[in-house]
Amino acid sequence: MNAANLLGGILAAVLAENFVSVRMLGTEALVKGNRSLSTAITVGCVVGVDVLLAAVLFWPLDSWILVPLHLDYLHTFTSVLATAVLARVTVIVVARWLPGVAKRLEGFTSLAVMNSAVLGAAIFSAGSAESFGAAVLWGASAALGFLLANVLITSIQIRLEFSTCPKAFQGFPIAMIALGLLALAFGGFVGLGV
Amino acid sequence: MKEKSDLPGGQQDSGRLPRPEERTGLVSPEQPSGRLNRPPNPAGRPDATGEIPRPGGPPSGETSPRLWGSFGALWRREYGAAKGRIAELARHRTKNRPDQNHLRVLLHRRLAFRELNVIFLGLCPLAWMIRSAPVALMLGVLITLTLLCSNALISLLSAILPGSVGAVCRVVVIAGFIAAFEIVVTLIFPAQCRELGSYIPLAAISCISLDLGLSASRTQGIHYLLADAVFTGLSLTVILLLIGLLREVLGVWTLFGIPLPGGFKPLTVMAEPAGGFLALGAVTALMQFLRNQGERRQGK
Repeated sequence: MNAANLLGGILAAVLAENFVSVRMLGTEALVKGNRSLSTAITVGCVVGVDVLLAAVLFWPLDSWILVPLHLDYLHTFTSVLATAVLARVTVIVVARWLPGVAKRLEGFTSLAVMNSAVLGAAIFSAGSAESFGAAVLWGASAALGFLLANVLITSIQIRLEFSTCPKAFQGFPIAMIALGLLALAFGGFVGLGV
Repeated sequence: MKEKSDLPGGQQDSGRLPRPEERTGLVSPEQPSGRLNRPPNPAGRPDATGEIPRPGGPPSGETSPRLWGSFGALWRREYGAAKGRIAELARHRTKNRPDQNHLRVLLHRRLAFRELNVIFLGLCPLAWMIRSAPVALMLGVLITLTLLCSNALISLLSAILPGSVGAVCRVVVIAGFIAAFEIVVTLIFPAQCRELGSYIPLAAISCISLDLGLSASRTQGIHYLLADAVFTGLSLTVILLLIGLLREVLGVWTLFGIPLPGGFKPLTVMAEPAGGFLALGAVTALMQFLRNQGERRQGK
């Protein structure tokens, strides 16, 4: 794999196949509790680490155990279970060793870490990477893409707080429409062929 | 007179019951009972076999009835505790049995979208998948069935499971049901499942989010909990169907796969991921509008 391919793979995972705006994963954490940019960066980092760990842990499980033993039907069960275990471990680690992060997340740690982005990383890592190294790279790029989308969406939400919108659109609906417009912008990167 | 006894090993029937050690054939009747006639052996000093006896325990290498007795005591204690928990739960549920009025309130709360935040959280992982009405209907039924079956099973197990493993058990049960229903759905709707690809397991996250919203009903009894699970699943199905219809009609100009008449040029953006977010925003805004209208009418 040369440098151009490596860069292309990273750009594809961060922009053209962004977890949030293109694959529509991990929107729960975006919608629920991001009140400031620092919280958004914290959530992005915590979920990003989980996304990377999910890709790194589930790729060997799928490629070295489930597929060779013809246990493909356990793919869904094991991926959900692995995500739940990872989420539980993250909650414990954050509560015990990272009090600053726990205080910033304030009670929605479990929601932030048990979301579809982490499960998506576990599910799609097997199909998106051909080797363990590629899976690690893909996981890191996906985590970076999640962090980028999280920061962008939170910036939009902070601006929306000072604008007047119809009462029916307040909260979740307007966040979804803003996310849709962001997804249109990210869709432009698909045309570049990265 | 009976000369020889029927006991194994030709033991003499001396009119007494054999000791448990004798019944197992491990010791002979002539051998004295280990616990009473054994010479005192201070703890820690090796015995004749060279092994150090455990203080207060049977000699090593010998099956002791005390071991089985302790297992029996443990089993009786755990079984008794579980029975007590089941009886307590039954008393609680009999006392708090939901009546028709409670169920009507629940129906009103769920199907009138009173608790939209729970539904919104359940919708998030499904946003990519809902591209057409049949897929939306399939996912809605899948999630409703998973919620119903998982809550029924967890309710049955709740009496014997310790409270500390409740959340883990819930996730395991939901994952199991999603995996099972995925296989069934793939057999029944192969075309839709091919379209969804690997996204079906994401419905598990939706089920887990919706399951958290049912925590208030968990103390009210199994009837109430199952009714709540069904109503939550149905309300999610209605929203999914609306999103699916909107995206299918505007994005492809078909309805349940049947081409619609007229020369409308489809909006291709609605078939893209961006269209999913826009449709989700529009439908949830409609839900909030209807809820606000209902609250205003009740206020008057």
